[in-house]
Amino acid sequence: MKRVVSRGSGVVLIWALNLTILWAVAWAIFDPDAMTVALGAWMAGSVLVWAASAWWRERRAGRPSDEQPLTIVDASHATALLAIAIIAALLATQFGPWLAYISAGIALVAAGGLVRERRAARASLEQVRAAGREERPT
Amino acid sequence: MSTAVRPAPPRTRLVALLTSTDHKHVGLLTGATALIFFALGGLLAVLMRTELAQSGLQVVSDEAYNQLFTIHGSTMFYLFASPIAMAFALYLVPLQIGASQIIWPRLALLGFWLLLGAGVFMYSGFLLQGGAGKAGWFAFDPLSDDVGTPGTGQDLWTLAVILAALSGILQAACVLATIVRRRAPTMTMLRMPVFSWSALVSVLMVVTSYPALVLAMTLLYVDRTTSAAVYDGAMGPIVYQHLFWFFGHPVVYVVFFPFLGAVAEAIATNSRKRFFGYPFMVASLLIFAALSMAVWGHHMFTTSAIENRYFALTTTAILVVAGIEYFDCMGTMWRAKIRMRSSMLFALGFLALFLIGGLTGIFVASPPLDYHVHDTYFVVGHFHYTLFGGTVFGMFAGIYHWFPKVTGRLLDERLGKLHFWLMVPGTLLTFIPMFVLGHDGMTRRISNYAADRGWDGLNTLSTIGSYVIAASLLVFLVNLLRSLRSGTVAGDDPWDGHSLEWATSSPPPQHNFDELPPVRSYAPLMDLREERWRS
Ligand code: HEM
Repeated sequence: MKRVVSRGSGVVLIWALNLTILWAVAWAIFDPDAMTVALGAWMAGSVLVWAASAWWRERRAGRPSDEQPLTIVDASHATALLAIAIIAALLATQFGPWLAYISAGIALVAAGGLVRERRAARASLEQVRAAGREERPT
Repeated sequence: MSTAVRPAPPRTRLVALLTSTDHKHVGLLTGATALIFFALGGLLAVLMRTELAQSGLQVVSDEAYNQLFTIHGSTMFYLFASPIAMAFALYLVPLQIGASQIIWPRLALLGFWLLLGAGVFMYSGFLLQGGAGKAGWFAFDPLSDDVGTPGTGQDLWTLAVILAALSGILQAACVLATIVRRRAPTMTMLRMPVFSWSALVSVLMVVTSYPALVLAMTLLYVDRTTSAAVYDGAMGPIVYQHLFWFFGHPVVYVVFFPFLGAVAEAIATNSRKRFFGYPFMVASLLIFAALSMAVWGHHMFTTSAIENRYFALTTTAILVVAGIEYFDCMGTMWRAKIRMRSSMLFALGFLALFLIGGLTGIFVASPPLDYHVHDTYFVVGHFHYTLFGGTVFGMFAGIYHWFPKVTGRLLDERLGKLHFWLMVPGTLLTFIPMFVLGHDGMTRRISNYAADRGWDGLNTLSTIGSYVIAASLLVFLVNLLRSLRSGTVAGDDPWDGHSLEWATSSPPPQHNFDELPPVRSYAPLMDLREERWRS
């Protein structure tokens, strides 16, 4: 048990099992309505699948250690733009499609920005590699 | 050779902050935004209490009163309590687990921006002709459909809730992924400090339950704005309630656990002892969190559409695990040489006041008693003791504890104590009368009551209490501003802290640590100090 809890994905697995037990108790002992069963099943099922995949990934790849230097992302203008695009898209449902077009435009610029940020991170990684060190982008 | 560093002009600094992906900046931005909304929500509460001070008063219209309680409750949950919990987690968890930054920092920043959008949407309703949302913070259908509550204000409210929920999910996912994948090499899960554990169970609940809110609100929005009658039909409103409370109850614990963690840290540090019963605390947090995912139906006892026995059982079972957490906190203080700093006072306030919420929760967990007090001020009193006594007192324990780490300066202790000694009587005076009023039959969400009911005295007391709370918050504001400007310099570890965040500078550098101390338990700095004493 201690070994399971000591791993991050193990805790998610325990969480999923807790939820499954609660759902099973509701389903097997009581007489719940369909929504209670459905929500409980969704809750337990989705977390179980996610926990199992995290567990499997962690087993396969091992937990990335923090000893390696990281490329620290310190700012992202594109993310702020993306948020504005999402907000504008929601507002467009109230104020008309013209806002949706503007939102799409902002989203496009934001996507371009994100690609550029990614490229810059990769370039700096290459530089570090070239300098004989190893760095991992986030 | 010396290098002159020219400070950036203020506008650029603001833009840099608003686009920063450093978890500490995102945490601070989210936290500051949440606190501003706390102040706005508090202002609405004081307005409501002023309206209710005496029977027959008409400070605001009935229509405006509906908007006040809706936006007050919605602000407090969606824009303050849940975001401030995420803010604490975003700022502190990476530091406590020895990570240099979070995973998916852009998503965390996106979460902050969506929160900002949510706030603007919700409050811009007040500028519209039909006013802001007015169907309550849970917006039950059919009251919240386009016939029950027509108008753009309610539409914007619905969109705001979707944005706030998305914001929470994004930030929670970042914290969760960081804990799972970016702990320092020697930081096993069972060496994580209690606060990080409490944040972990909180974010687990967020990613599991908030999607139901997004679904409920998206369907409501479609229902309101198109001809698709999503929630029509006999079972429509019940489906809505299921989806809403599937989120709506867990959120109460999402905004509780991180502050329980903060209180645990404040108690252990001020007691100069390791946290007592750590493994039991961890187990109880996990079981408590799972149980609280399975109690949503207790909000629906009176609908007769659910299995009351199951939800009464799970709800009552929560008391057992909550008892373990109380026991551990008391055990930590047992025979300790306690330092009564402001953080400790607020931690004790949390334990005492949340207990009132917990004990009155036993009443409403029992269906026969709940039928009597359902939708009365008894319930309003109960949930304010959990939210105000729990979340708000816990938050202040956390603020007084970690302010020096975040800013490098100490808050003034005298003002801190004045803040506490005003806030406790204010809280008791405001919310205790509500139990009596509710038991006497005063229903919630009313802007007036008949003079012959005999409720004036208790309502006046409650209103005076809310002014005392407001005064205490002003004291805190003064303390905050003064300390930011000219507070005593704190140093890296002013309290003899236990966990890793106290091993770095105050405020921490961008990469968090220049060097990590060895981690051999959940109190690594205490280990180091003990080693030093021994040698
Ligand atoms: C300054 C302290 C506060 C005062 C005086 C206050 C007062 C009130 C009052 C008078 C109501 C209306 C009750 C009704 O008619 O149903 C109310 C509702 C509510 N309050 Fe507070 N409150 C305070 C703080 C908080 C906090 C900190 C939270 C959450 C973190 C909160 C959450 C709520 C919620 C969820 C509702 C229900 C709204 C609804 O019915 O839709 N309150 N509060």
